[in-house]
Amino acid sequence: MNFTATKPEPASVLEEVYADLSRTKALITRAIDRTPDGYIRLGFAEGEASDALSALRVAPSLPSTAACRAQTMTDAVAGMTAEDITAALDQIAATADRVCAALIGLAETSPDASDVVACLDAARYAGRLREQFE
Amino acid sequence: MATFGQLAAVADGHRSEVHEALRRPDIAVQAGRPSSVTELGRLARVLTRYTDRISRGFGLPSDDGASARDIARQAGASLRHATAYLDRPTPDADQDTSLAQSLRAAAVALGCGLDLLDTHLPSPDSGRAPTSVAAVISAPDVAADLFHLIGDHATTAGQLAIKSGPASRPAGQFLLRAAALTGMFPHDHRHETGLQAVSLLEIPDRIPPEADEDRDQLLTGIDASVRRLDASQAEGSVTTWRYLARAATITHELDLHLVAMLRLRLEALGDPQSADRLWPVLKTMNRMSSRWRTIARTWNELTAEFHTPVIGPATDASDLVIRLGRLGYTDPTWKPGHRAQPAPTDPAQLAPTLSDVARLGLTAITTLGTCNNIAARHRHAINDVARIRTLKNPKTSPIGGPRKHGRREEIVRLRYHYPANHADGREVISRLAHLMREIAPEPDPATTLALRSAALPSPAALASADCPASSLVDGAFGISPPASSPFRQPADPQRPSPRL
Repeated sequence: MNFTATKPEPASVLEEVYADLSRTKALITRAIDRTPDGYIRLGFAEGEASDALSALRVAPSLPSTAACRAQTMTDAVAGMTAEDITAALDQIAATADRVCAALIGLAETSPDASDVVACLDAARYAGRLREQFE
Repeated sequence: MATFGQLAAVADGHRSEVHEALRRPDIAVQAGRPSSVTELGRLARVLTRYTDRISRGFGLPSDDGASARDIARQAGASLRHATAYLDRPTPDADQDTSLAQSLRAAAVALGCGLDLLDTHLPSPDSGRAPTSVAAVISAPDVAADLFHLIGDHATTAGQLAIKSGPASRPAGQFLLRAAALTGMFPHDHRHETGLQAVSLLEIPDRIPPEADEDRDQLLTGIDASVRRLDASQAEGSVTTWRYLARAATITHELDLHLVAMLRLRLEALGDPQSADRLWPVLKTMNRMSSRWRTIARTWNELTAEFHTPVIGPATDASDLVIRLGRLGYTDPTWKPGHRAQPAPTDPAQLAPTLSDVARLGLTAITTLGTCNNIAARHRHAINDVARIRTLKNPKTSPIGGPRKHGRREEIVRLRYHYPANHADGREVISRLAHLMREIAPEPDPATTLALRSAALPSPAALASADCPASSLVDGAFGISPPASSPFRQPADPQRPSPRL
């Protein structure tokens, strides 16, 4: 148990955000492949999620455990039912919002310029991802 | 906007004035005036510019049209001989005769017409790349149109020169020889080539999409985006390539949706045979669809270290997606997204008549052409990735595993899927273009030009000639030119029939 009165470590925030985005991307991909017009509606959304992830991958503070945790999240999506997916899609706007806020908050306090660039870059894509779900 | 056809018509109007003058009793006096002879020389020089362009194949790489180039070379030599007899100083005092004015006007119109064609052709000086219309301009049947034009003017000029007095009379023989040479090239008046519709290359301004655009506004906007995308030849960043791959995937799927609706409409309009001919098109498009998806997703996995901003073409690609969607779905404010309404437009409302089907078919063709141009430029895209891969050797990554600056297997995947889609895209466009030309009642020059420039391989595509061409030969270009033509070159599998 940590002392949670202080701000969480950048590494754990980044890992969390990375996992959230990975799950979101996996959800979108499954939704796309489920319906004939899936890519028309969500192709750009899938792209924005990918761009946010690839922006985060260059953050020096992203811990090496992030990839593994992201994979677990992705695998969980593979086992979801159609109804679960539909329900989860409705949560994506909120997730993207949360991710965006977390990344900007982290950028404000981060001492590492490379982390700041990666976070703000990823936040931009997350913002555009949210637009796709408004 | 002025077209080549309008300029040629103006030139021909002045030519017929000269032709009338030939029958007047004082023609020998008029023709012998120094100003007349000087203007004849000017006209001959303009005609020489035409033959020079044809003899150089308009500066484009091409395997066919050798006979056209040969004829142009000989006619050009003859015109140069003629010019030598017509070049002489005009005394300032000599008044412009109406004959001289007509000759001058014809020469100006023809010169302007050639300049107009030039805006579509490559220029080594300015580094300008050819447009999609360039492939039409350099087609052998367009050379036939141009030879016909040159022949008419050379004949009239020759007849005039013969009456112009002993010093310039030999020019008449050379002009008539040039006319005879160009007349040897087979020319079919009824065959519409699209040349008349060529207009000055102008990149239209962006028309930002508005809600509630009607069908014609949507089509105009789509047309503007297509022309802007085709004209954008700037080197793209990796971010741009990636965005364009996504946009092309969506555009392709929207086109699939559109073609499926047109098929339904053809059936409802009582043309089940044409409707059936869309099945193979839809089948190929389905296959392309999954390849485009793979391409887009491969780009998604490739990391671009610094996310350079998405520039220029991306905005146009996005406008295109939005308008194609609003054409295909009922929602007048449609845009891609989770909440996008999936209710398709009623095909009967979209295309009430057969000519509407052809109009929308043309839109499908030109937008597919844009996707194909993106596929054709894959070499640049892959080279950009490979360059990043070399510059940023990925040894370590904070999250372990290989950093993805274009791993080998991803590049290999792009190298396969882009050309495969490009080849299939050519086949689809060609089939659609043939079908739409049969459906459209009157082959007007503008539609012909649009269909042909979409269906002929773009010069950029010819430059990246590693595309598998096998799918092009098996019946996709079924309309063959008349076999009687003695100048017909053997068909090259890389180049579809110019008669399209």
